[in-house]
Amino acid sequence: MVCPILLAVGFAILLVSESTGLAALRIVAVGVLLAGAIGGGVRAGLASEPPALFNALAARFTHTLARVTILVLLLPTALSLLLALTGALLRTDYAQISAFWMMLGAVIALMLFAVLAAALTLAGRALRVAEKIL
Amino acid sequence: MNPAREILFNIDPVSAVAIYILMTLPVALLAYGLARRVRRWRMGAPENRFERMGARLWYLLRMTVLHGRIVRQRNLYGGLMHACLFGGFVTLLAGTTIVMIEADVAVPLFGWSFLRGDFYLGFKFALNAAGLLLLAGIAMALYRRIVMKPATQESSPDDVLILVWLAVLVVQGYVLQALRLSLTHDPWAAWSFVSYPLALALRSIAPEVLSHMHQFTWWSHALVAFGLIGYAAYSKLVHPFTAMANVLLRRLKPRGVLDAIENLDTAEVIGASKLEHFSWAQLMSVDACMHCGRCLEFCPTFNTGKALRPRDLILSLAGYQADQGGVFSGVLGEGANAGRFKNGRGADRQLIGGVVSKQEIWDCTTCGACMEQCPVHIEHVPMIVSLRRNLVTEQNSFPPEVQPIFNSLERLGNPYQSVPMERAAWTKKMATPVAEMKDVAANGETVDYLFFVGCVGSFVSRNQKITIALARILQAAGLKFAILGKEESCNGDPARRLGHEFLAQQLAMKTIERMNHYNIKKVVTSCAHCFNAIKNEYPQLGGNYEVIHHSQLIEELIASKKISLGEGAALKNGKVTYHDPCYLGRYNQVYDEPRGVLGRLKGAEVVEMPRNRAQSFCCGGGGGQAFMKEQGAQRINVTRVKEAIATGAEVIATSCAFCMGMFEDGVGASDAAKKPRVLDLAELVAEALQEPADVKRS
Repeated sequence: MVCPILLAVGFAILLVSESTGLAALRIVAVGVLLAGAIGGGVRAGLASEPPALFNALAARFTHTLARVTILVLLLPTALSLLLALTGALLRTDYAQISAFWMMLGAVIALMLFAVLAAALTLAGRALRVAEKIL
Repeated sequence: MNPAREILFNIDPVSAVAIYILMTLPVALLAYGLARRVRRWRMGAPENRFERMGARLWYLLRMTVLHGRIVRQRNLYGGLMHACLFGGFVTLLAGTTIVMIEADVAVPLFGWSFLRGDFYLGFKFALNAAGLLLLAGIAMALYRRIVMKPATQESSPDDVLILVWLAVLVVQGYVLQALRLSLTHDPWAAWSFVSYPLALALRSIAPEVLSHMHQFTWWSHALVAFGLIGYAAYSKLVHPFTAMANVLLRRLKPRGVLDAIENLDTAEVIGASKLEHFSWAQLMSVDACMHCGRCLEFCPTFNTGKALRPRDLILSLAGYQADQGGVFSGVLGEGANAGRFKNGRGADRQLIGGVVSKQEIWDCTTCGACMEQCPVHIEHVPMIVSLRRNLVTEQNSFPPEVQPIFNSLERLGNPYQSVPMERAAWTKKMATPVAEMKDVAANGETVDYLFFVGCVGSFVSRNQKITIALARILQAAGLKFAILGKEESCNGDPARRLGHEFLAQQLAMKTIERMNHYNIKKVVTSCAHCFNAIKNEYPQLGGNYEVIHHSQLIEELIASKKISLGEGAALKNGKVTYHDPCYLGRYNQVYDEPRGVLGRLKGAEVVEMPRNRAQSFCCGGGGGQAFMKEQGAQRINVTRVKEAIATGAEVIATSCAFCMGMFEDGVGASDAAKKPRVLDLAELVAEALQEPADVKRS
């Protein structure tokens, strides 16, 4: 129970620090939060059995799903960066474009990329199956 | 106006709080993953690796900051690539830490802002350069994995994923900085020399859009960084932790030492048949492997197509360990072998026969090339011998051709089924008699050196010539020496390397008792294996002697003018190449003395094989292989002989009894038109010896 309490206390100190303007408290809050996180992680890791939550996740969290999750995390960022860089290089007048439309563009590009990736994966699978049959 | 940086520029207070809260999740994941690994290591047997911490820390600093084992002449590309990745990453990490200290410690607690003025400008410049360095390292790594594809390297999706992840993080950093520079019209923006051109280009975008883009990029940069921290413990990114721990807590004993099992009679288990039979440090070491494949570069089994690939063996153990460790324990990033052990499917397999095949265990020549090359100091050979010990002692399972060797060692004290009475038979060919210790002791005399002849030098006719040559040299130098004669027995090295620890200790104890009985102080050997065993392993069993290899002694005798050399028939205007025996070179760092001896021979032109010194290629005879049938189409000794012949050498020189046999055999099997002679250093020197009349060969 110590670690969740530390996390809660750290969160409370952080809120006090930000709301009262006592910036000196922030490092205390960060310290307490880190102690809670590291302590919790280490305690759970050294336990003889992993926590039930991890077991439940593990049943579903396969390698493939993990990698897809990582890609989903990385791709929007990569695409938005790409958009920004392209725009900057082409010196497009973005004054008329709102941030909403830019983000929407990134999401659409991501979806297109996902479709392309799925198509390529399927094509690869199909080729492998064909190789086996032939 | 003083250049300075506004921390958390354009970030609202809610985001500033939320980022600290969110940070706890990846930190907890990292701590959890590392703790799972530590928990698995703690399953291992105890071993003290905490002595001499000062020296350990200094060595760690040399290996990490100076990239001691990482940048090597033959691995320049990989070494420089890692130096770029390391230098860039560490500098950027330090930069982020400095910003955090400024924002959360220095300013709020002491009202001191140091990120300003010239320091700040230099800071900006350095971080921009570090980003480029990191990107260069990433590009080199991707090029190597995708285009160069060296034979020793296998790529898993995680390898590429991590590189892309890091690249995204760096580019995000540049874009984030460019957006801030565009918004603030920073007059010192040019110091950020990578972001600055981008900032100029971005200025055409409306400030409102720039502000949103900045906030979005700031969040995504933070999330990508947090993701990387959380993923680190489950991928090869764990290596900054595990590799540094392994280098810090490496074994400090001489590399040639195999630890003797204490209290053999009462030990519950001999060797390793389960992970927990390895020491905790060995279990930690398998987690330090980052799949670089350097262990394969000079590995005789990998290079001749055998089953054993040291990297794959370590990765198999790492995968098995991860699997037994529970959820999320390295399941995402154990590299090429990850597919074999995931989500509990491999946990119930047997270690020997299931995770590591018996063929892999018996293929090893114990040459130590893998250990010499490994940049994170993984010690493969002691682990392989542990597996052999279990096979031999607990399971009575070993190649059939080894049985007569064990029998002969046990009954006769040598592996050749020769009678002990014949041990000193070679002395009959000497013009000047060679004394035996029992006679020396009976006369109340002492000797300078005990000449430990070894089984090969005593019984194998080809090697007897080397023994005679060395005895002649010692006599010519006027040294007082004696042999144990029929009291000598095998030093135990073959039995130990073949996994028969009982027999090895029995033989070693017998020799130690004999040598201690005669109060021996100095020992000279002409066999690299005898040299390594008596020098490095006997102290564990109470045998402490000053041991010198004949190549060292001969070099010393020539240098001190105790012997002088004339014209040698073997090397008149001849090229000679020297093969470094693994147990002399890699295990005991004796590289210069044999070359020094060759360099003193008149008419000798010493040429090096491409693989030499610490990066020498094994002859294939170590680890008991000299007594076993070699598996696979390519033979190790033939491969090495081809390399020697390619130098154009007329003589292949060596200084180890087993190497001699392997080379003689390899030259015999070679189809070269002009076959070189294989000679020991002692033979070359004896041939060129200007010796007193009383020791001249009859």
